[in-house]
Amino acid sequence: MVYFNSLTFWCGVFFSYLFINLKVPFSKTFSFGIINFICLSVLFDIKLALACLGCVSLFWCFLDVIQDQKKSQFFFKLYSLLCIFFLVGLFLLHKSYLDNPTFFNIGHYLFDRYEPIQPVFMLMSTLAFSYIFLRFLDLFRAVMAGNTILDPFSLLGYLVPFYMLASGPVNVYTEYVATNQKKSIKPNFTQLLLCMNLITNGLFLKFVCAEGLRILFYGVNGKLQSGDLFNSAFILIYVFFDFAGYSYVAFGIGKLLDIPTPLNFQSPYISKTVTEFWTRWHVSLGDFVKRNIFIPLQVTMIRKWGITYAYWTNLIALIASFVFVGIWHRLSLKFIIWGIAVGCIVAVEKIIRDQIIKRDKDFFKKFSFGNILGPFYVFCVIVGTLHFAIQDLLGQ
Amino acid sequence: MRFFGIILKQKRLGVSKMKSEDEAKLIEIFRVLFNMPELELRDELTAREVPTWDSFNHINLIMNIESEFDVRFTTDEIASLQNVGELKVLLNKKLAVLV
Repeated sequence: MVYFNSLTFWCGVFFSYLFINLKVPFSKTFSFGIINFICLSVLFDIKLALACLGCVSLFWCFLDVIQDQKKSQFFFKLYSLLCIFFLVGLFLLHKSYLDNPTFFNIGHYLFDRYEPIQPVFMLMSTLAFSYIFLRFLDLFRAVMAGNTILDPFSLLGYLVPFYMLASGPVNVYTEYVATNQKKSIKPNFTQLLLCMNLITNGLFLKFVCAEGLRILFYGVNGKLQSGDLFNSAFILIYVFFDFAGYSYVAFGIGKLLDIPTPLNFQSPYISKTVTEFWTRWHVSLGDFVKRNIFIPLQVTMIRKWGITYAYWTNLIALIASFVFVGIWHRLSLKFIIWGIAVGCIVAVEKIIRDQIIKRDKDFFKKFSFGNILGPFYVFCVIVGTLHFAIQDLLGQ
Repeated sequence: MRFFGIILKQKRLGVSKMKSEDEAKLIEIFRVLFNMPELELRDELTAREVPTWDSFNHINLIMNIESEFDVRFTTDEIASLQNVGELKVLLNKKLAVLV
């Protein structure tokens, strides 16, 4: 889904900027929700936009019902579990259709057999799209923790934001809610220039660097290839420019509209360890996994088994988090193995790091060669792990 | 979580000051856990500045604080903490409820 080269999209951004700065007696998120709904209708189809709004409204009702059940622990837990199962089930159904894995082909099975289910399935697939699924989870967790449930239009603006549809980032629900408490920034030329700078930087990375490299190696109409390590290394570099470029554009548009939009990349290629790499690459996904999977899982295990097993719970939570990331990318055995492998690499790095620090706390400060060797080591490991799963990623 | 963090920041000026015995207990937990006897607890101190403060030790830190002060943090609160100042504000809030 590439629409940064669409005039309609940029007209939508321009009019959104004009409209969001009007003084209206509505909350910021509601104003953005309305603008977002109009943009979705124009960019895609009004029926799809209405259907999305309908689904979001249903989810809003369900969340409201669950919140009301807080006094009854049994029903609260039951409805919460039902909600989680529904969301995860929908996501797996969508993934099974999209990724067509041999061991879980129920998506295609249902889609090909039952014609009436097809339009419903397409809508469900849209809502179960990877980033939207993550936002649903974040919204659910935040509301269960006691945060405000916004109105359906505002929720639509959070769950299906028109400028973050293609590749995220995964914005945070509580930050989105906090927008209503913050003072609006008055439109000024400096702010506008800063946003334009971010957007043009992103477009440069995406359409000049990424596409330029692709054309250089594979020709004007050439597609990315897998097969050898060189291709895998190239894809890693291409994906960075493409994805980072897209993320800068989304970040710039978010700043323009004053809607919280996280920045996704923080110079990942200067990382000295694989652990550090995954804190700098796709930052919003890493933060999502940390607050929704890694920390809750580890804390639950420690509270159940005791602090004696804290080390093991940390390693289990690490591996489980990476397996989730693997499945989220592709529902395939290779990506599950990829998740386990990367989780193990990060766990081994932690064990080695702890042993080194025990002997010499300042070792990493003294070892300046790490600034050169580290990134080289990280690049080799990431290319190696990517090479294993690249065919599944490209669908080849 | 960030919302919670922002609210905490706004109230920090009045609430981050701890009782001296509580602060002493907190410093001791930090120094023993991170194996840094000379560590000074500034409000702005973050995990990046302490070599042994990784995700594992972050959870360990929280569990030790919970055990020492007889409080309980939610996973949201644990994930939202950005620095020692915010931890102190949160801990003060929990301790105020107990009193």
